[in-house]
Amino acid sequence: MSKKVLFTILSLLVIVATVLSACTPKTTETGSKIAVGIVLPTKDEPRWVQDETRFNDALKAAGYDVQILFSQGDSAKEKANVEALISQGIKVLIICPQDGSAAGAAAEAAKAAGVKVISYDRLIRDTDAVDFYVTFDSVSVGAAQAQYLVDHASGTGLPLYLYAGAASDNNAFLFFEGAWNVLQPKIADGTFVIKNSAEAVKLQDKATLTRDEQAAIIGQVTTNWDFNTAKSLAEANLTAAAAEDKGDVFILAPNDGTARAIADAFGADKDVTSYFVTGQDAEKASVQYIIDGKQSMTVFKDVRTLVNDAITAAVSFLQDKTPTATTSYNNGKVDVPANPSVVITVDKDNVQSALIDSGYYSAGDFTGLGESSAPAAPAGQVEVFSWWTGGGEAAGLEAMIKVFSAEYPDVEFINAAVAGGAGTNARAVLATRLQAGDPPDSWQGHAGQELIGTYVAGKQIEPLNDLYEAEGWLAVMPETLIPLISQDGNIYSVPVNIHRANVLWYNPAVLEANNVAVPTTIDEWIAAMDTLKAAGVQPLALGEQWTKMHLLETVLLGTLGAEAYNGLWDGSTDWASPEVTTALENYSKILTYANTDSASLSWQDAAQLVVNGDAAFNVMGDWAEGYFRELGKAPMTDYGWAPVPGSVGVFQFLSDSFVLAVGAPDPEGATAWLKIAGSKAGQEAFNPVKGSICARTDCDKTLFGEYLQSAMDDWSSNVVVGSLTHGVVANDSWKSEIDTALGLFIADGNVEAFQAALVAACTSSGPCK
Amino acid sequence: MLRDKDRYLSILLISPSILAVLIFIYGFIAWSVRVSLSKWKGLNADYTWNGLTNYINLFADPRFAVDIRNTLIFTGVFVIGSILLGFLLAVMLDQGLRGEGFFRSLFLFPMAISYIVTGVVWRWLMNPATGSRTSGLNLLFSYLHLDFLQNAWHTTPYWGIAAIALAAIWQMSGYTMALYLAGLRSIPVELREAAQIDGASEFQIYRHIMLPLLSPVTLSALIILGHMSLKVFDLIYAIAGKQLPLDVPAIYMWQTTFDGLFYGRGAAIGTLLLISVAVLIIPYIRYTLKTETES
Repeated sequence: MSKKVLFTILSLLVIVATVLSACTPKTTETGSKIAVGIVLPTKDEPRWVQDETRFNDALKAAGYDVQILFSQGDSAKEKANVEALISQGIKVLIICPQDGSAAGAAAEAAKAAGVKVISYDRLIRDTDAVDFYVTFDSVSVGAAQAQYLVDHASGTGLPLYLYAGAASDNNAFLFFEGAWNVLQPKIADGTFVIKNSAEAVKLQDKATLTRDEQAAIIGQVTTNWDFNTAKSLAEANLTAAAAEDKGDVFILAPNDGTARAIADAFGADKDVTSYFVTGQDAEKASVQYIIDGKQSMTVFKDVRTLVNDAITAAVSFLQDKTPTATTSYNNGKVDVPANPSVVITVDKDNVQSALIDSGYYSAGDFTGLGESSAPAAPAGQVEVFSWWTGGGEAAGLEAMIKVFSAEYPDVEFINAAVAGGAGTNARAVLATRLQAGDPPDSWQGHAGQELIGTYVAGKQIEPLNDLYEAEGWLAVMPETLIPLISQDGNIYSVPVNIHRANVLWYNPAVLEANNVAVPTTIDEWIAAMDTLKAAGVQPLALGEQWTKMHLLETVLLGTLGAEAYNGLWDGSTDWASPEVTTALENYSKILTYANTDSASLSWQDAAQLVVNGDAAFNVMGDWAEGYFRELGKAPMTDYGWAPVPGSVGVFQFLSDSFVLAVGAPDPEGATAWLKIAGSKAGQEAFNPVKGSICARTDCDKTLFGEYLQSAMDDWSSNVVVGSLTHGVVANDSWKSEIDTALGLFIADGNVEAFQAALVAACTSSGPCK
Repeated sequence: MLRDKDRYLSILLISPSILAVLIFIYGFIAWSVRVSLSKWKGLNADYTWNGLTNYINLFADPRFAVDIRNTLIFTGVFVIGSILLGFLLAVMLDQGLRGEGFFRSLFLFPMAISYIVTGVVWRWLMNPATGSRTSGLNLLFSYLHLDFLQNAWHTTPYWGIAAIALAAIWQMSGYTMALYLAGLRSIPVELREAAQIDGASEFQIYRHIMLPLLSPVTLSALIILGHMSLKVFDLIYAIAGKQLPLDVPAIYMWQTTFDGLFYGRGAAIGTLLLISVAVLIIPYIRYTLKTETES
């Protein structure tokens, strides 16, 4: 019974097949014979499967019958395929050879049968039986890959790992040639150091290589276009390499398949901290790798163009015409005419526009797309770390979070604020988290060296130049600010607010009662305090040790002037100079006018003495103004302000800013947060509440009180210098050494020893030599 | 003797805690010592060998000299003060007065408070402000017409740290009292009665009978208070914050490590602290173990 059923089914199938095959000829114009035969290398690479579909669709649409066969990596099978197609009477053969030299025989067989041979994407070598070459310019592919590596290299001695395609494929040589042309000068000048090919090292001073020299290198680093070979070669290279040959590595990988295999191997190595790896073909899997940050780039050769060009050439031949050629490639025997197409470098930044918007792939093929490229809204979460847990700071943060949530409703904001010690505790917690490899996405830090000296040196924060450019922040922030928050041309944080450190607060009534004018120079100030002291008034209110450092930095600025003060921090002003001695003597003198119980007073206690009329002057940052308002005091009647004597026209700033963590768990969320932190809306929400001014110069003045309005005018017009106490000009280590020197000076009052300790601090932890 | 099986079982049962102690105590001690011998500065670990440089630098460091001086003053004032006051309170309570239980709890109570709380309270009490802003103890002295007692407390140059020790004495003397009280109660009544019959005065009884018998208690108190004072951190931090005149090694360690990122130097200070405490504690532990096995 089962035999009977089987027979019935088979019969039905035969009938259906006959009917269908009888119908087909009617849809074509060229008769029942197959006009174009296509031989592709393997079904195992997605690239060729996608090509199969495209050829089928395009040729059917053009009205030609086509048969497509795969060689499955076997040159013998390739020849058999060609012969099978010839026997079907094809007029044009489009062939992408598995092995450029081995395919010669197949091509010659086709030529003998009067078939036009189009070498597709890979050139058939050492035969005159090739009529046209459809290709991307392979040399420019290799050059694009190498250029990407060069563009992303900074510094010298960067480890470079070279990989090439199959030594049997002519394109592998062309890719390598293009890459070598771009890389070789950068190897010769020491930017890159080749780590995995003794042959390449031997030839590294040669700008152009002969084919034999190329073959020698390729023989050492060939992947054979095979994932497994690539993976095991990369693993073997990594095993052989010492830890110091790893770190931040640069990898020339010839195509996407091998790039993924190599990237997996490098990504799994614990000594590799980051890698750049090239690719080509824009395979789906690699596009996903690029979106995920696992592959750096791919050279996109729009295969649709190539398919179209191949079909155009085939149609020309079918119509007995010659396809247009703009150049030719020598295959070892003849110059094969060709009309190469241009290539596009695709990385995370342009993956959307180059591959999705162009219709090459659909967005649904990938996950995580759009997080890196603007149009789609980011989702997920962002963890932001700060020490804003109370008062105006916490309220300002809340206001800014509100702006953030309105703009990015799908991103959950995690406020990881740690209280205590004006940030000391938070910074200790942050240090622990960073050492444990568990960074928050973004964290608060004082703009300048506190961030740069600590986190840039530790490679824990990312440069934000692109964000600054994209958001147009450079145009709206003071020019003199940018160098103070940059290192080697890279900007590392987004300042949210600006405070001024060099503010002299005074009690107008006390000054008036004693006929003292607001001093503008250090000498006037000392004279004024002498008058006040003689009248029995406490001239200067001072608090605990850090407020004394705050006073010190303003007196240094007031005595030295902006330029020499800046020089202290970049090494151009000598700490041992007599000018600094004068400044320290001024400081020592000024300390004698301070209250004796300063060590037990917080900054608030000290500032309060002025508004309560118990003291005449206090030097404190302009957050004091917010405190005075809290106390219900009125500007210009209960308190007045002026730049610290000697620093008129100079704005000594400090700023809370946010950074982007290297290896942030949610980089899209973090970027979204930084965009808000730098935006007009975000800053206008935060600053009036916190009692600071915007880092941007375009904020709406009417949102701010009288003092802050005057600060805003100064911010956009004054010379900007940075604060020491608040982390702008000196790194943490240096600042802590200065703090120790200051503490000892407060105890013993020895100016000479103080200056010597400051010189030593600059030598041990600053730029002084 | 345990049978072999029981022996293995007991070793098996305590092995997790031994392992934990090995890793989390001795392992970390070893790691800290290693860091103290390295050039580590900045957030990223750097184990480059640096020999004893960190230690040598510390002993040339004027700040560390301040720390040692402060520690010595603090330890002296704190240990002597607590032992004297504790002993005095114990003797008073030992007289069998009414409400002894109440007073005992009262004196012991400060020990239940954390140093931070003590620090905050004493920060208010020891306000050094003068004139119209006088407050805390100074204000009390002024009400009591004891103005000569008013002083700058912890802001006094050089001796400021002794004022911090006052707060520590307040906190720990109750504990010393408890130690002495237990010691006094363990002295047989017969000894005292025999002395009284022999015509010894109360002072003579304490001088020649009680004190010698209490010497093990005094030693314990000395050791316990001594090692606490070497490690003091929170009390000073709560009263004075980070001010160099009141600096001690623990604060220097914290500040230089987390504010200044000098990990090598911080670890060296930590190691020195450990050694100084060990010098005090180890002979004591050996002595106690010896007397225990003997008895």
